[in-house]
Amino acid sequence: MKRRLLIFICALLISHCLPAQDMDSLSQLLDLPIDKLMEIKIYSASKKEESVFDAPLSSSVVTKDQIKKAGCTSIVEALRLVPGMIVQEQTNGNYDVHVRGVSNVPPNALLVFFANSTTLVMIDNRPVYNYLHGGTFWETLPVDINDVERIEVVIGPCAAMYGPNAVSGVINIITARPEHKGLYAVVNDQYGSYNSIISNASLGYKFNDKVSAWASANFQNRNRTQSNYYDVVTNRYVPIDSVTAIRNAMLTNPDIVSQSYPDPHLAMRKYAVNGFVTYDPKKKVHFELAVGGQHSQVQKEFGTGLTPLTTSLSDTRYVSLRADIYDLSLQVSDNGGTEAPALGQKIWHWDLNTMDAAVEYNIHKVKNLSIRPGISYRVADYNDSRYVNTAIREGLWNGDARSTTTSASLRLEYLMMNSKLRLIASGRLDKFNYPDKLYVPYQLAATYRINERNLLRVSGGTAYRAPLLIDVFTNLDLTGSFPITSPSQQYVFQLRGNKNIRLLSSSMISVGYRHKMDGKIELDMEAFYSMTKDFSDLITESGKIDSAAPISFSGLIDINNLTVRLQRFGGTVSFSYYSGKWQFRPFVTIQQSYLLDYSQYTNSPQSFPSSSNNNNPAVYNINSGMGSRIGNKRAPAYFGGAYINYQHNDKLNVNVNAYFYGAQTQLESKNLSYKDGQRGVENMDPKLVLNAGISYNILKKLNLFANFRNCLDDRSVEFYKGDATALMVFGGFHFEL
Amino acid sequence: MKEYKRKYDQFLYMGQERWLAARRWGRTLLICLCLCVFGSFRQGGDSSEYKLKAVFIYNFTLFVEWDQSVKTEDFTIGVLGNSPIDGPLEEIARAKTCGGRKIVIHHYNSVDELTGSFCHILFIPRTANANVNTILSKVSKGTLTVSEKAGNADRGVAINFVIIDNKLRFESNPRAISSAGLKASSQLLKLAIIVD
Repeated sequence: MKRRLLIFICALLISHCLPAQDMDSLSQLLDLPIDKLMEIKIYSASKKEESVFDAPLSSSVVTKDQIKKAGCTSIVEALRLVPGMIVQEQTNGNYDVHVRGVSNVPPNALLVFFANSTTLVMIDNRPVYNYLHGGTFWETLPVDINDVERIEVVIGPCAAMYGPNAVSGVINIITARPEHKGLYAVVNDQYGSYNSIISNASLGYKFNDKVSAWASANFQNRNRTQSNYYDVVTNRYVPIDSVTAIRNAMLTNPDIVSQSYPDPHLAMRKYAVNGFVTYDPKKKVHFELAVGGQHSQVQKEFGTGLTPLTTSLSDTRYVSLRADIYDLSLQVSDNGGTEAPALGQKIWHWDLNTMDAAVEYNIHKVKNLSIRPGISYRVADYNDSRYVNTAIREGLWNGDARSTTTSASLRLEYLMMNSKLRLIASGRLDKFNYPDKLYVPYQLAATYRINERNLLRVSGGTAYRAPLLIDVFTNLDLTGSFPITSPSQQYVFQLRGNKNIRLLSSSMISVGYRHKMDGKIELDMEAFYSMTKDFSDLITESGKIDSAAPISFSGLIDINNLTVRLQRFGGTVSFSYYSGKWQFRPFVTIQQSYLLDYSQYTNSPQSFPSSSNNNNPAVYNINSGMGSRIGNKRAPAYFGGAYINYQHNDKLNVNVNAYFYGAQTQLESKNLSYKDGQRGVENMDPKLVLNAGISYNILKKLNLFANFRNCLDDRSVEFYKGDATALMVFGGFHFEL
Repeated sequence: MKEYKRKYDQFLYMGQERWLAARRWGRTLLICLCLCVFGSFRQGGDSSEYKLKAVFIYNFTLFVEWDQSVKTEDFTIGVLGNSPIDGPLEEIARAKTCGGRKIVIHHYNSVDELTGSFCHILFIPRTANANVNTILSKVSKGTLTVSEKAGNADRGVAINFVIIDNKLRFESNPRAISSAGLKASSQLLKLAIIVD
């Protein structure tokens, strides 16, 4: 009680002392000559927040400064500082990221479909999500925390503005630029628990106001926080060679462990290099070239039947060119390489190449009207023919899986009532090769600035997910025998994609209010309602059992749309308080969601009788859920965080940040096989992840820091059968020239 | 389902004390937050951006020559409408002088109040409720106009703040400065982005 009273008194004193601290910094500024004033970066996110304040959609920005002070050890972890994000750790450094929780829908799907497939992730406007299943292989991002200037997040369906896949939102990672003329060098190294090594270095030169060139490199090594793997048969965590599926696989392939799990202790090992050149020959003309490559090896949740964890390997390189010439913007990028998200399994190995080209033009204001037309072209080409015997359909697509998107977009913005009322309409025409149909996402938004401190906004729209290669091009024959029960008998599952699949779409309407006071206090509130439909899953269409024949079972499974729809409503509130040495930024999202017309049966009425359809496919099939409405516990009902920073003086900074979420239950396909409420089920308790960071500038350009992640040492898992999380302690230095 | 219930009960039981402690801390934190917020409401304040802008404006007084024929006892800085720059300017006025003259901050609630009133510097916030041309038509000769909206230097404002790479820069329109009867030092113009 005494301690709390002391804190109470301290807070009271702080609240009264803050203006005095402002005065001090103002008097320091008055002592500086004007050319030095021009070198000062504008502290706090006030400018950013100002632009966020006027944004027509639900938007947030997390800056380099906030990321550094919070002690985030990776870009993905930094997303925990953004309102509306669900970020859950699978293994040390590997995360699942969902925007406002369209997660684990449909329930009881294969683990590979757990990934968030509805968010457009970009680096400097270059799409970097994976076209396989629309998810993002975060470890394959070539940039790391040192490269980040800020991360911009837009929540809600906004494909009309940003392009396909911006269904639940957009995450755009903006990279940093040299800040002053001459030599530029940044080194950030830290070492922590579980042999976690995170090294970042950038070196460059800003020749003059026109030309800059720099290179960056990053390396991460992280060990797992446990050594065992989940075995679904025994429902226990066991050594890798004791997992039942591994033991069965060893009967036909004794090297399966060394091939698929070469480093059981390793959670992540990755390195990447990037090179950047910018050229600004004249005012309003800007060219930017970025090239790079990365290698990564992680153990994360991908799920292929052996254990939920797989070893994922990736080697990719990219080149990106951006040009802004007066009102014309042009961006061309290419990304290629190889990926094996489930090492040792032929199905999951391919070469990939993606190319994006986009042109936009800003037509000067016609009175109060701004017009921005654009066109874009995208090719995603995945090919596995180098790694499999295509004749027997060993691979996922057995040849080329090539998706093309041709788009035209138009954005109109109209200012009324002395610029107080802003109306925005965006539309887009997306033409894919498959499904061969024209899609028209759209977005309408309005903001009304009541006065300089208060703004109301409303937006609504519909967005479509990009066609997923796994949905469209899967062309695989799964063959095998029943090694224990009847080794002589074979089975064949034909897995086929669907070129006429309906693309997942989401419609949302949101209403928001923003308030700011004297640059110190900001409040952002939003309420939303959304409906998402046309989910897809593997559907058993038909099957034949003939126990006398050598192939005792042959079945057809395709990827098709489901009847289930996801209805969600809720709200997000974030509050910011900046003053002198203090920054507070708590935020929370509360949501309620329902599954409409959900059927747990993933077979067509024409399928064969089996235990999974109660031996009556005509009654228990994909249409059986019509008319139903059930509460969805797949996403937490509340989640959020807080960022609290205290900058004592130029040298010492202390930060506490928290991330929390409510209970949720994830259901994997094994839930329907075992039906015991344990296997295939992960009940996750409410969790609070508390982090802290302290840093001290021992020299003007050299900073020493210590980070504590998960200070409460809460070891509960955050994702389906993932590793137990642990208290992590990091120490390191940051040098900036 | 039973297992889920059991685990949940176990969690509730085992975590009860921790949860209660977290609630107590949460409540304390909330009270502290409210106090700090209350403090800010009580005192008002400015963001670092406007602190910097205010210091820039003070620096302009060192690099601009006003017509000596305009005899005023105090050095007046006018602000049109409400702006977060008020606080920092007031602080500077208390702490500094301009050529030995006391600095006075004058607030203009509307454009009409500019007519017949003189100030050495007029700050036009981006939220000003009037067209910049209307404002300029009402400003007396001898006033250095300073604004913070893109394109204002082109429209005839003497100095316009812009933010480039998170740093504060200023555009300067030499023609607007000279037509106001002012002289800006070459040192200042060297640092400015010149707009013709």
